[in-house]
Amino acid sequence: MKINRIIIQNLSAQKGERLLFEDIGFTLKTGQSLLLKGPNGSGKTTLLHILAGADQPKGGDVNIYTISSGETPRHDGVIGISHFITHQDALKKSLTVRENLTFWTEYMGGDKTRIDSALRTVGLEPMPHILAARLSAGQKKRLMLARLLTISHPLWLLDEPSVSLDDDGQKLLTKLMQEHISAGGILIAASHLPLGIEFNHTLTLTGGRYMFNDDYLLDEENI
Amino acid sequence: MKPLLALLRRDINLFFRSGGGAGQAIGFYLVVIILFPFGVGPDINLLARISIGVLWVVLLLAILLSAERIFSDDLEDGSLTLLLTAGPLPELVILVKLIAHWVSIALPLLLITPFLALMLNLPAGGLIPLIICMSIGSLGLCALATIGAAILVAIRRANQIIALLILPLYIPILIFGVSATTDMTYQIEKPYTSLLILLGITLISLIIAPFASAQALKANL
Repeated sequence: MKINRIIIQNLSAQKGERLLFEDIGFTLKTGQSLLLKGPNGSGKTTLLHILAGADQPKGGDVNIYTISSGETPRHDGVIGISHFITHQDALKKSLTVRENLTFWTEYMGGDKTRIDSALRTVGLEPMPHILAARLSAGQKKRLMLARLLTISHPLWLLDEPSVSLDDDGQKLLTKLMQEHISAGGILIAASHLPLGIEFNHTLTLTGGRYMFNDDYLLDEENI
Repeated sequence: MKPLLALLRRDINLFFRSGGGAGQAIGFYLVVIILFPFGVGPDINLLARISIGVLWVVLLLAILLSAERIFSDDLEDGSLTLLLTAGPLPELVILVKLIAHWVSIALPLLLITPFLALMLNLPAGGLIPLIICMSIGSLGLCALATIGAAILVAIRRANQIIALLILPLYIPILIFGVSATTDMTYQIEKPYTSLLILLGITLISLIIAPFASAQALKANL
């Protein structure tokens, strides 16, 4: 599935009584990347959750246009086309490294033949039969990243992806993100730490307000 | 279809591998049924008369006690979010999880029921009706348990609350399950009336459960 662009309009969210952000709107086209910044609790994770379809916004729309759907947005939003990496690993402790990856690959419609090479790329090749319970936090993160390789989804939503990765792991993450963007994918990441790539755009959320680093994403001409 | 089969395999695999799942339910079922004759005393006729009811009640409780596990583990490690947003329709995903739960909890209980029925002096000719009715009824029980587990997914150790919430819904299945088994065992006139009602309740529960649970989970994620 090739994605053409993702258009976010008038998006608002609140947590309990507190307004996180209001009327956010932007458009990302294929090959573009957006970095979300802001203090803790400013709504970065909530925004990613909404984009991933795991949370309902208070108002507004997320529309995804694929190459094949032309001018009408996909009716089922991001379901089946996005990767969502969060602090929760979605790994089962009593399954092995390989079983965990195989399950998600099958479940999300990925390519099972890529499992071995994905494990090699993320550096877990020597331990496919170890239970996920025995992995360190960094190794779990690497196993999560392996999902990005076996399943080719055009939209990546990464929430603090570099946390608990070592130097090599961070370099690997940078490389994966670069390859994804140059292959025409769309990347939206929230991070406090530098991720090693130049993001096209930055969105800063602060207590109900938001700010882009440039006007590009807001300019109708560019949509 | 392939993602759903993968999920079914994974869920059953997890239930048997991580312990606590099927083991706990079987343990409970076994212990209660074994203790019962000791409590009631050596009156064989009395045991035979109450055996169907006792087996049903304990089966119901065993399923109720394991209800929480349907979603809690997946919620904890974040799998639930991915399961509901990154794959097939949520309603289908829930239906598969329900079936996986039935295979890993109810099926083992049904398999040991013949041995436990012996201990309770189940009337002759009662075993086959019992297994048939319990197979149907337990599917309905699992469906209702799924709704309870979905509504209370955000609460930790919610087993008791789930029990309170869905117990009223279990009563019709218990009544018609026991009466269907009794009618077929003693071969009364028109022995299948209660069985058909039991089947009806189970089918309705199976249809409602995925939709109700999907809505509840969406609100809870």
